[in-house]
Amino acid sequence: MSLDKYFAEIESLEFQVQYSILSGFRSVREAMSRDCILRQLILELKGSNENLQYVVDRIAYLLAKAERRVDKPIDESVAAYLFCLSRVDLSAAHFASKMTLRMGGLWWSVQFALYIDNLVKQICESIDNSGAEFEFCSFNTTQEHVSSDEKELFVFYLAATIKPVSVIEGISPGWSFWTDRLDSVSCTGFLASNDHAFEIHEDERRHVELDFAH
Amino acid sequence: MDFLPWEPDRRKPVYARSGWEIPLPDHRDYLAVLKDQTESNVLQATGTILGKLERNNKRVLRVRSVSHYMYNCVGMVFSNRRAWIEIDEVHNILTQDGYVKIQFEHLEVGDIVVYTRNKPEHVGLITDVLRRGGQIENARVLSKWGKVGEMEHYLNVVPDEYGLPTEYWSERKPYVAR
Repeated sequence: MSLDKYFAEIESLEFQVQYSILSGFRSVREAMSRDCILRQLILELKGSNENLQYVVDRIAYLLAKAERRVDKPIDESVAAYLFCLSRVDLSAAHFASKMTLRMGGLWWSVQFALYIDNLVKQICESIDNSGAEFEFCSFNTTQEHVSSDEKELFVFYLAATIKPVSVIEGISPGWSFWTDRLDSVSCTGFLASNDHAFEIHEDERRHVELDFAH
Repeated sequence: MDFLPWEPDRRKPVYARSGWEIPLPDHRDYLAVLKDQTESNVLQATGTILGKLERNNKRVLRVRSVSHYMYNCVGMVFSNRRAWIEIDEVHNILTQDGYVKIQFEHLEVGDIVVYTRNKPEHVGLITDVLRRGGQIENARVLSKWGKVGEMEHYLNVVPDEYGLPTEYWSERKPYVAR
């Protein structure tokens, strides 16, 4: 399915201006969560690696186009794409964030990129501190841009399902967590090595239970 | 005033009356945007948002200024247009500066209005209070709309994204204990 209609909308001046007038990064995130166009785009991205790749490519295209200009009338559009990616696939969002941070000269996009980067770092640290070694993950992609690092794949799951890092820090065998933060989940499960097996069960896409068993 | 990203941060810190240092954005990101933001961009964005408002039968009183310098509504009200300060800091600043919340009926020129959508989204300075029969009917507000221009407008003539004017704050003596 073509995403061109979303691109045209998200790159229009009118779309950009509704975020230009905001005065805080939290406000931008919340406004994007309410945005109908972005919600529809997120739906298009779920379960479609092809569409994910298309959005990552679009960010690369916009950044390259803007590099030749003194003004950079792409800030809010790139920020919106990063937002959508982060709701579906944190690995892809992280990759796009790195591209964005190399660019500079942007405001909301850079803040989104730093936010995603920081989220990934925090979760990786939490995983390191948990002492578990993750060797297998059911998330597969043929996209070249997605890192093969299992930690990043694990990050994708946890970020998509359980936002608060404090929950992740509490990981231990036999625990289970419930969350209603499932507006973006598209995963089915994962396994970890050492002596723990973890599974995610989806219940009508509303709740996720993490079972931790020896 | 030109800054280069590799230069040390020449911005002065901004302090509240209590001595609390108000957090400012990262120096490098800030300077990068300062360098690249052009006045024509801001002007174009300002025109677009005004057009969008007019289609919803909302019209601002005037565009006071358009600047490429990066400051926002909080920076306009609390740091004399010198800085971009995240809107989430607004309640901290008001408290640390000794403001107290007042009723709409007590509103006067120079007081502060905070627009909220559950959380603060925008802040403005009251420039005129319009009364009819002793009752406040409306008020004029001066505020900076994010990256775009600085506007004078009636209380409710703002983009929907700002929510509603729900809080009024003052540091005037009748409301603040000596």
